[in-house]
Amino acid sequence: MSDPPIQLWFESSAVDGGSEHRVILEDAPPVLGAARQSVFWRAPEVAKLDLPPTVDSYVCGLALIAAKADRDLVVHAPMSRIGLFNLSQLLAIRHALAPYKFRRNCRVQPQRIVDACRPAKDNRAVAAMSGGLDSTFTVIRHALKLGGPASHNLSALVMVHGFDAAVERPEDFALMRQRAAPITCRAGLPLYTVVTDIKKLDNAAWPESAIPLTANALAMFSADHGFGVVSAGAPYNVLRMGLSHPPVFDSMASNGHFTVITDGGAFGRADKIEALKPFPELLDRLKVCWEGSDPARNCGRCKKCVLTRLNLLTAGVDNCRCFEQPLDLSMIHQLRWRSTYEARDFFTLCWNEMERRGRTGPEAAALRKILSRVPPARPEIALWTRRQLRRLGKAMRF
Amino acid sequence: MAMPLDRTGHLEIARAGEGGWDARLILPDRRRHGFELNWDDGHSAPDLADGLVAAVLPRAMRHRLTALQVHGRMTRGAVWRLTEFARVWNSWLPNTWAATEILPDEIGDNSGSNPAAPALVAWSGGLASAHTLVRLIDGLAPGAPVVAGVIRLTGLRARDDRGIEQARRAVQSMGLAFHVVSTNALTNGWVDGGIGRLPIVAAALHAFCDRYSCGFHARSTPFQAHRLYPRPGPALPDLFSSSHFAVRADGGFVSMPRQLSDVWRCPFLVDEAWQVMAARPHADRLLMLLANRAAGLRPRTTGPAQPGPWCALRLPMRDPAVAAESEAIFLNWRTKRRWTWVCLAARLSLHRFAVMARDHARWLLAMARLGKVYPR
Repeated sequence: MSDPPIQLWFESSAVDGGSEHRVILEDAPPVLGAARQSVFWRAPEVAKLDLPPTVDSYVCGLALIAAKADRDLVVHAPMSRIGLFNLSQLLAIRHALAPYKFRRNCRVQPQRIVDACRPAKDNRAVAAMSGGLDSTFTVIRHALKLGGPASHNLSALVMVHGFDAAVERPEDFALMRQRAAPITCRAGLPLYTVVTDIKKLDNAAWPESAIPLTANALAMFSADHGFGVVSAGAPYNVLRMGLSHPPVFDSMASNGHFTVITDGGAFGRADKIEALKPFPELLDRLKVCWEGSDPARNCGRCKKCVLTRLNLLTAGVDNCRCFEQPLDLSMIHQLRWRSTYEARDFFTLCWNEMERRGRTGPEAAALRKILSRVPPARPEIALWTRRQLRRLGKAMRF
Repeated sequence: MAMPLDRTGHLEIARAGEGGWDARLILPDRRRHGFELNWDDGHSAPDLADGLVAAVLPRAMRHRLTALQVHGRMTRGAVWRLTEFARVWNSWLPNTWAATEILPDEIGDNSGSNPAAPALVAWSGGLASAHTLVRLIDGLAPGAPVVAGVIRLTGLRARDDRGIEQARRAVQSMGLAFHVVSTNALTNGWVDGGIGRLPIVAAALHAFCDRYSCGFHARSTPFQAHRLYPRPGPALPDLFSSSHFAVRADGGFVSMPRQLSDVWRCPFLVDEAWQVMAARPHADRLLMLLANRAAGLRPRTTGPAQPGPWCALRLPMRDPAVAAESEAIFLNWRTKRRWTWVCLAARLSLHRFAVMARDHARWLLAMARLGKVYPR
């Protein structure tokens, strides 16, 4: 007998002057916890946020979780036609690229399909804000209209509590938010918080679900905003199609009611720092670290911190105050990569831009040395050999 | 940093009347380049220039224009999407394409598209676009909009104008409208060698924006190919869409044997795909023949002859799309594994070995400071 599909129900309520949207899961598989449970999306500062007329944004992230858990979905609410089409493409692509992770090309069966559409004049956008380099660049670029007529009409920002800072640690999130305050102040836009416990579901198929779930948080404000802007993590040419979230996948979190836009994929990290150079007070508040124990500070030594330090150096920003200690060569020498893919990311996001700008010095020399030592696809040799032997064995048997 | 020279070009829409568009790109040195799109049903050209700008932009980027002044009206959505498009390709090869800024005379926040209006599909005759058509009309794609029309673009490939009347009859028998759009883009050099034909296809789809809500085209590259050899094209969202009309890509995740199996129920589409493949490069023909064998489908009476088992050894794997498609065919082999399968396995293994050997050579050269840092 085939596994029963996960049933999704939706409800909206007022909580302590704020709004809460709750998704109730029935027939969830054991890997996701209890068979009947719920996840919440809460906007504590904004009252009377109703559920959107179509729930596509709420289903998108959950569909990836269901695909990972090898289950289909039944949605007891309307979905937009275009949203369902996008979602079916996203699931098919994710399954084709990583069938070992997304084990099923999950079928999503909505209660009703509607042709939802917004008037084009409704071009107000809400952007996701994490306080990192990418989101700061996106927010400042569009809020201050640095992109000319191609700028989006940003009118609000959202920071999610439950992704980087765990939902049970509100004090960590408060520090993160406090650190980002000067950035939102410079942009002149209100910053709202959305709290969610979605990551309790098998870590929510992270990181592939990062943008669909961020879009879900932004879609809470879709009554007043037709567009959600998220920042691109890696440029278009980075080898990340299978792992992370290139803009082509992000756009598939769009639907007839709410359009998701990925911004900044055409810029490298050093380009973004150069664009933020006229705002040194914002560079001082960047928060890029994922690994340090304090979510409000950059540890300064992890890979992401060293990467950003080298990006700052590439862009000609020495000793930025977002790091408490100056860059030390030993921080570069300690870099190690588990696979070639990680080294390639580092190469594209850092070395390429350094080389293009002709940046030299002891840091560049140290980086060159350490990158040269990474052996090409060492784990793949064993895989390759095993695969060849298997193929040969099959060929002998045909 | 030196400021770039101001090189503003102008896009003039010389004719936007019944049945066609005629665009002129005027370069800063007053040279003019033009191309035409003509459609057979004679409807009026839309008053929005979004589609034409999409077609013109690659050439403007190649001529390193800093800005393109569009003498016409565009939607806001098209302005920011096409600006992003230019920036992407500029970031990929800065010395080849400029990040051209788009400056329309008028930006119109006109009404959005009507979601209840039907969709249009661009069908080149090839297997990928035939599969997109079948996927959309046969309900294989959940939530797909209702498709009511098909366009066939001629003048974009050699000999792509043959068999039009036969195609028209077949498509109309499926209950769909058939539109033929002809262009001189290929002969006038408007098909960019790096970016490809898609901008012209997008312009042709936009020409029907008043009657349809969106236009579909097939993705030309499988996603797996991008994972092996990244290029901006497959990673781009639908940047040829506007606020008024969506140009949407479909596919890129279904292997060729599966595509053939899905399309098999429409014999006309299969025959057409065979004919089109026969006129395309050798690698495409080989892939189609291998896919046919992998899917266990009986050979077509039309088109090229069935391959011998050694054909797989001749696959040009330097093309990442060919490498990715071959891998997908191999993994989706459904029939009894005979010599063709063994040859394909051998070719893929050889290719993998060559890639690994090259990577190791590069690494050693970089270690010895004789080459650039690996990995690139």
